[in-house]
Amino acid sequence: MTPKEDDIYPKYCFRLSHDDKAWPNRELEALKAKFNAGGDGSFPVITKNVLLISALKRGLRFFREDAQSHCVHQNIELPAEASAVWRALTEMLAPHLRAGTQAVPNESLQFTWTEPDWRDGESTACSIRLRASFHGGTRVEVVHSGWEVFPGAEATARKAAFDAKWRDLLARLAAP
Amino acid sequence: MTFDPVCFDFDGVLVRSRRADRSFLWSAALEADLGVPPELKASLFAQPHWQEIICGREAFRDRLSRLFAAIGRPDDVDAFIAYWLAKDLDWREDALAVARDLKRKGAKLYVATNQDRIRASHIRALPLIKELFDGVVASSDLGAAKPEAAFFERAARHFAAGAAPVLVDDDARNVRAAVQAGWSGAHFDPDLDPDATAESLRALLL
Repeated sequence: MTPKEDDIYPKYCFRLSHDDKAWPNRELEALKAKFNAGGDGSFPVITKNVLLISALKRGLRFFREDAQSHCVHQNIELPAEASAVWRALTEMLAPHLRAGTQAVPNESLQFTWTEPDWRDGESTACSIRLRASFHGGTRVEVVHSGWEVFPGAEATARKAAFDAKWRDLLARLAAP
Repeated sequence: MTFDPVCFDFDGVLVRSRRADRSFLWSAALEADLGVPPELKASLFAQPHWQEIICGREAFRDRLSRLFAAIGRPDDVDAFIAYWLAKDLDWREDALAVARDLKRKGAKLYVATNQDRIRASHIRALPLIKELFDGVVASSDLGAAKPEAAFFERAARHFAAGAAPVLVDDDARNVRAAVQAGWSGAHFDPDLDPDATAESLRALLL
């Protein structure tokens, strides 16, 4: 019986990482047959390495998506150079920069975001990265995390509010 | 102003320090100028001695005396020290301009540096430093060097209550340690990173 794809990934990922030689050839052959079904069979497209890489990618995607679900993520591509974006960004965010800010000018900015009406201990973490874009401009990537400090539905509501807020802030960066 | 006081690292931030291959600028011609043999040059700042020296637990002059005596030139220690102090002072005017603007805006400024006692005293006595900076916090006085947590804890005793210090440093490890100690930190390494401009630093600090 051919194993289901979802059954195979965790199992083989474990086996490959601990004992590559223990790979069960019978199951590998079944997998090859499954994934090659419909082709002419000339190229064995499924190999141990392909499966291992695929399993790792799935794992990474899972962790990334899981992590993203607890963060505000906003990106924008701007036509300006990183130095100009950096100037605008630091000017815009100056009221929010306080002790614990970590900066690599023109590259990244990490700081704590709190609001006056938030209770003691309710602080969130912002991480902003500037990357050169393919089009010669700058890509701004914002990750705003730490919403779990708020209880229950408040976390979801505040995160949603900051989703909109960051969209607005980044739109201001894009404004001429 | 968000960050006050602003603490500048000395080597690599206020003065040019390294070439692209990470070798020190000031000692590039040391062999030719003073006839210092390569093996002695390699020993001058060797660990673990240098760590003890910059933490104030070993005197650099004593170490130099031993090293120069070993090659039969005990009288050359003072000449070496004078050469080192004079050569290792290639001011970075763009960073100093940022410091001047911060000073005009009322910020307190400090030099926060890993230095032995000889060079720390020399830096403290420089007219430009006396004019622009409110103080020099040096590892050899504090008994701890960046990135040790004790450096930041002891340096902070020089600042006013409620201060929000920021460290501008060319070593990312020091910046991370500063942030862990409750300071802010800006990684600024213009010797090796062409994108690290004083203007980008000014945008953050002013």
